[in-house]
Amino acid sequence: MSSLFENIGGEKAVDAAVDIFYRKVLADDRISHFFDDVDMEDQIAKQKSFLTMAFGGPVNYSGLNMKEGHKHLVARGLNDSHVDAVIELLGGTLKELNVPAELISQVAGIAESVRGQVLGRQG
Amino acid sequence: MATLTYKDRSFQGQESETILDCLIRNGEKIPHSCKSGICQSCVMKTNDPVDLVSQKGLKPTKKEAGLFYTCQQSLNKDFEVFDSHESGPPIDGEIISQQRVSSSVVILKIQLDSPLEYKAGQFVNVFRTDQLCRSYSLASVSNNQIIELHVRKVPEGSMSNWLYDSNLLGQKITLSGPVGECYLTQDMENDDLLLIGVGTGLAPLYGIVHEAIANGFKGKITLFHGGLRLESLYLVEELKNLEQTHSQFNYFPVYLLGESKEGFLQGDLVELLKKHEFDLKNTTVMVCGDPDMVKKLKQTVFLKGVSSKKIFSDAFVSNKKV
Ligand SMILES: Cc1cc2nc3c(=O)[nH]c(=O)nc-3n(C[C@H](O)[C@H](O)[C@H](O)COP(=O)(O)OP(=O)(O)OC[C@H]3O[C@@H](n4cnc5c(N)ncnc54)[C@H](O)[C@@H]3O)c2cc1C
Ligand code: FES
Repeated sequence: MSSLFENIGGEKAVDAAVDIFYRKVLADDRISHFFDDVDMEDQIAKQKSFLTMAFGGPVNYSGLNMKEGHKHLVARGLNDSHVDAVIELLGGTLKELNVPAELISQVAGIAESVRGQVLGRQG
Repeated sequence: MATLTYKDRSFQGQESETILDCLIRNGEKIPHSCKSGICQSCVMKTNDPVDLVSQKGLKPTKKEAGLFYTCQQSLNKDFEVFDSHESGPPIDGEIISQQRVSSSVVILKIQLDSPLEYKAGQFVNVFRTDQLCRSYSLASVSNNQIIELHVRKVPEGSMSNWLYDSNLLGQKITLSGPVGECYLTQDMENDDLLLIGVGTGLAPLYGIVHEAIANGFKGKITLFHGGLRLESLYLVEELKNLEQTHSQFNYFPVYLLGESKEGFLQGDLVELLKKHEFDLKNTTVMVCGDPDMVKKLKQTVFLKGVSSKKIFSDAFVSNKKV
């Protein structure tokens, strides 16, 4: 059986999605301020590893990194509503790329599974 | 506490210190400038594993050779480091022209003792005899032993005030490099170019415009040069002449403050770019100059729809004062 990552299109899919997704994030008043002070290249690289993870691909960071990596954002007020927004934009991105609904919900499921770590509620 | 070894000497690290800071604190003369992982002047070599950030943007071959930015690597465990000489041997030269083109910008021409191979748009690290080091973009086109730099005098800036104020004709100077990834490549051959320079951010783009034209670049070349006031702009006549003689080249001098004037655009560069129409799919964009403006301008063109892979930049980061 092939993996979610393969079904979605692997690294190519990540490449196709990253600009669309990051553009949505920057244009979204609910969350854009969390992404504004970081250099674009750094952000693109970060979004790429996030998308790779959400697509079920090989991850290069652990849950602890997740928590550490978002600590400063949580201090600035990052909460559930922002995670909701990110998952929504992720879904919108995949829809635009004509990814089947069934795969989109699997991706949303993975993104959902790290919510606690991102918000610093669990290690 | 971690121990740092260099040239058979050992130093004890302090809380959250970088390798560069530890070496400097102990009296070692290590070149450095931006302290932001950009200029590469502080690069050294190690066989110990380093953090991702301290190799960000280095070529894979350099990473494998153990090169890393000492300004980015915290001394979080024991390290042994070595001099790298990787950006080539230092090149000596002499300042042969020092032209003050505005109340804050000086154009320097430096005759090199030996040729420097580079691509227009790259930068060099310039060393004063006391080892003070700063990065400046090459405004000249390669294949010449004379290079051109545009330097803007910043308030209380050590290097830039010296370069502007002192009489430096005949002054010996040393440089290393070239460094930087903001230059024309073959992939861009079939694109148009949109070049956006703020202040002396014009320098690398000025070189790129001339190199593109000289190499028979086919596409449209559009240059926006932004300054605070009309007087902040320079090389206006030269660029207007170039526009007259080359139909593929369009030049827009822009300033923020002051009365409007014919032949210039007056207003906010970011807003003007939001309105500027161009081929979003087939344009390579290059943005250079003040870091905050570079960030805003990059975001603006990205949000318009330009692919992140087609956006290049050089942010003129100045070293962080402690
Ligand atoms: C890749 C790269 C390319 C560069 N290319 C060029 C170039 O082509 N032309 C050019 O003029 N510069 C360029 N710079 C910037 C240059 O390297 C120096 O940072 C700049 O000349 C200031 O050096 P200084 O020694 O005069 O000032 P410093 O002594 O380093 O700084 C003195 C003080 O001035 C402040 N300061 C620094 N810059 C500014 C500013 N722009 N406005 C207000 N305050 C400031 C600093 O924060 C500091 O407090 C480039 C930088 C990089 C990283
Ligand atoms: S890269 Fe370290 S000082 Fe510039």
